[in-house]
Amino acid sequence: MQAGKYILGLTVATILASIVFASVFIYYPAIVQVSPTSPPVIFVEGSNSNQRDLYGTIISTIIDATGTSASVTLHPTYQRTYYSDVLRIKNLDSQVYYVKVNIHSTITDGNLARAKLLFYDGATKVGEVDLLTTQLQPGGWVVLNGNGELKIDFEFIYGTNGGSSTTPPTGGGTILLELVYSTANTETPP
Amino acid sequence: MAPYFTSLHAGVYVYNPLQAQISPVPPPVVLTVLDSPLVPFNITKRSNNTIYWSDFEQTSPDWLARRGGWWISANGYKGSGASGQDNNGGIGGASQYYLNLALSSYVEFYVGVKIRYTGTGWAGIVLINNNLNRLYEISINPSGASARLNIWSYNVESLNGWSQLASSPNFSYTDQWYTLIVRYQYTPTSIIITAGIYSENGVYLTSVSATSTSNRRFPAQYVGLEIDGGSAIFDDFVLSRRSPAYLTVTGLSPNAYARLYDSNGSLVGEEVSDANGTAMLSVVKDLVTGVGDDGVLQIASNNTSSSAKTSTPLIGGEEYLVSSAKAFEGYADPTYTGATVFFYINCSELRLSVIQLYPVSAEEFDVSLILESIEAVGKATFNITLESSSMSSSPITIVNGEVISPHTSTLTLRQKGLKVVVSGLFFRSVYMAKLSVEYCFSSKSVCVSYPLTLYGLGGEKS
Repeated sequence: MQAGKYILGLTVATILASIVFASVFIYYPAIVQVSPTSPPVIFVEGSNSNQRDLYGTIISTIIDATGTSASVTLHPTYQRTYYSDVLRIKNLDSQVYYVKVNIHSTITDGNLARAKLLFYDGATKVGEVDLLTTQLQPGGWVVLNGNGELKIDFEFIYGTNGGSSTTPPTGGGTILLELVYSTANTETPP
Repeated sequence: MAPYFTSLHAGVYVYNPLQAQISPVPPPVVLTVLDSPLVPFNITKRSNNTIYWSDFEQTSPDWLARRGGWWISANGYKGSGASGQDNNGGIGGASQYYLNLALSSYVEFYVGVKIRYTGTGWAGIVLINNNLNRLYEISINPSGASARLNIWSYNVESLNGWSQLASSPNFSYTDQWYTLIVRYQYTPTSIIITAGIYSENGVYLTSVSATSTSNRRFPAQYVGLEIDGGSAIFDDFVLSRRSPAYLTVTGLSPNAYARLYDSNGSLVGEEVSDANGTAMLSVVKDLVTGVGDDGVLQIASNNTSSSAKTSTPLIGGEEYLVSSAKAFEGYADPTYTGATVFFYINCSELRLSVIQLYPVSAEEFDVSLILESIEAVGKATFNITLESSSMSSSPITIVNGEVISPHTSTLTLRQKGLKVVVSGLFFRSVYMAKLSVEYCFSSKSVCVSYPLTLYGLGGEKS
């Protein structure tokens, strides 16, 4: 009888437990096939990459082996300094891509009054980015045609307040940005 | 719903990092605003040495004939002149044309005149007494291809007769205009007369001097022209307290060239100013510049040449003050990478070096000037060029406010630098011109632009 009571109690406990943990798990099969591809859009050197810059310096253009990141070092001076074709964006694909630039951080102090990145398709300016404003630019997508190239120019204007002819203008530093490209041109990238 | 979903989320976005490292450098090219030369803008007579002058452009009642025939003819040295024909009827059997102006209060004066004489007698200047019966004659006496400069008296050393007081050596004589300069001095014991003669191109030929101590000497009451034999033409008569052979110019920079041109553009005289900015120009070629007016005084210094015109005659023996002012002033910013220039003086012939560009580093750059904009009230007209020691760019050209050429050609900036040169009527109207000096590597990989702002303040006629 004692054993019967014990079995009854265990049965009740089991029933109560099954009531508390009553979830139903259903599993459907699905496959995510991740198939990396070579980058369709890459950075390449412009005609003036690693050429002479002011005061004996070099327009340094460093592109990683994959062509998917780039760093340029420029040496502007007072007033307006314009760099032509120091970097290019090359489309290795036959389909069109659309390009924007996202400014993550910029230079906020010193005499730097204007900093712009300009896209050129041949001799035609097709986009302009204000490097002093941290947002996605330009407003519209820049078209990078299939197998095409975009040249990148830079323009800087430095004020002269507090400066001298023997000192560089204040307002140097690093501007961090991203090249964003997409197969679509109808929405804002996440 | 399905198409909307597709268009909203069909994109693939790829993010590639890009970094721009900005490392500013000092300016490799700097500019300075140059000092403006002093530019003459006005001429004023500062002395009152001229007692009387005439360029014989018209008949004047100031002159009286003592016999002979005298008239204004068209064949003067420039313009008209006084022609005379001796008829042996005047004092001493000569013919005089004298200035009816009493001079007895002067103990010293100078007389200058241009003379052209093809006769074989005597022609020159006379000093006449109050009673018009005695005279001193300072005359040239041609004889074939030579002539002498003589001083005679009539009815002084010899009663009612001529007496030669002095005679110069022979000088070469041709049919041309000569300039005769006479100095008269009265002392209690004598009359001293000194004379010099110059060729048409201003070359000194000879001089002569005489002292009259005769009891019959006289203080000159009148001065006149005289012909004793044949005919002569006279021009540019100057009676002065100072020698009309020289014109004094003051107010110049030291070591400036002062050049006097007549209205025909012929150089009359030139001289370099002394440390005080004074130049004594020989004007024996033209005692009264031009046909009585429109003389042009050109001042050249510091490689800049400019002229001041005068509507009043420039007369030998007088002193003229040239008023000058800076044509422009300006300043560069503290970094020497931009400049502002104001133009004050209008002078169409000026070419002003306004700005100097020079490299700080050893690099060479291709430089050009670009006119960004111009706001002009009226008809601004000027050219702007870049110039090296040996080359000049094509200009930025603005004519009557219209931009004909908005940029210069390119010159290479080397160690000797480049100059921005402005010419034309840059002061004539109010304007503001904004330019850029752009310098690039020859590859055009990097270009730097400096701003230049030029202001014309207007207010002057062309």
